[in-house]
Amino acid sequence: MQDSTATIETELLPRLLEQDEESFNRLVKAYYGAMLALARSIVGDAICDEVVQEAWVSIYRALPKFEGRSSLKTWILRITANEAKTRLRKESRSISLDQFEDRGESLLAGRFKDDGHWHAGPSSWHEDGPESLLINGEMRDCIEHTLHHLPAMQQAVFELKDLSGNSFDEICNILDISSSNARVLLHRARISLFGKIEHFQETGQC
Amino acid sequence: MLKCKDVTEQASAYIDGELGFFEGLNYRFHLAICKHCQTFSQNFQAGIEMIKMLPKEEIDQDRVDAVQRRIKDNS
Repeated sequence: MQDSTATIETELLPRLLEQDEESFNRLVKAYYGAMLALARSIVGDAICDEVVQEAWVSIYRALPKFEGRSSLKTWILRITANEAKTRLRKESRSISLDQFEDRGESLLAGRFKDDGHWHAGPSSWHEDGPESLLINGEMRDCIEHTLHHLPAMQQAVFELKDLSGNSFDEICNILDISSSNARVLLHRARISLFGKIEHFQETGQC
Repeated sequence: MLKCKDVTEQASAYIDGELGFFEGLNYRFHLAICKHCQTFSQNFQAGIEMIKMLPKEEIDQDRVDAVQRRIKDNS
């Protein structure tokens, strides 16, 4: 049985600060998944587990010094993000993280006339709601592929906001980015995913 | 007066409830008179909802055990 965030932040925290082993195992069980998803969004599938394992070592060492300036979960995810960003820089040698952030103009840029209105408007998708679109396994694979090929910081913000439900304040703290940057990255990620789903809907191809 | 391009640019702020009162009003007014943007807005939100429904990865005990081993090796 996995502990809820509330249980961890209240009941488990005092014991965690004393590096109680059983409490620490419960913490690992509770947050490993969120850490893995975040690490994967930044460094990719091949080394995300390694990044999370390394982050846990740092967390274990730093726990007695946790000051509670953010929630424990935010603190843990921030350590994970830092570990992942450091690893990404190492793997990419001289490439700066900024270069992973963006791919320029929105996918929708060519869809509008000079007066700012649609050339050809979007077509309606399946009427039975989002879940009916997911019945198609190829669509699911296509979305996952697209998500995992977004620029690293777009993926990270999308993962933290839309898939894990963190607030913008928490995301800025975890990724050490400005509030306006977080919003821009999230919107670009959503538009890219929207564009891909639309393309799949219209052509049946990813 | 908002253009369709503006609607797509403000779509995230709209669904995240971050548009101010008048911006939100303008946005909704545009949706009320523009069928293309209504469709865009519905699809945009449906896409996000769909992605939220993708199955989450299960974390097995092996990974938790690996953390324990790693911490012991490092201490």
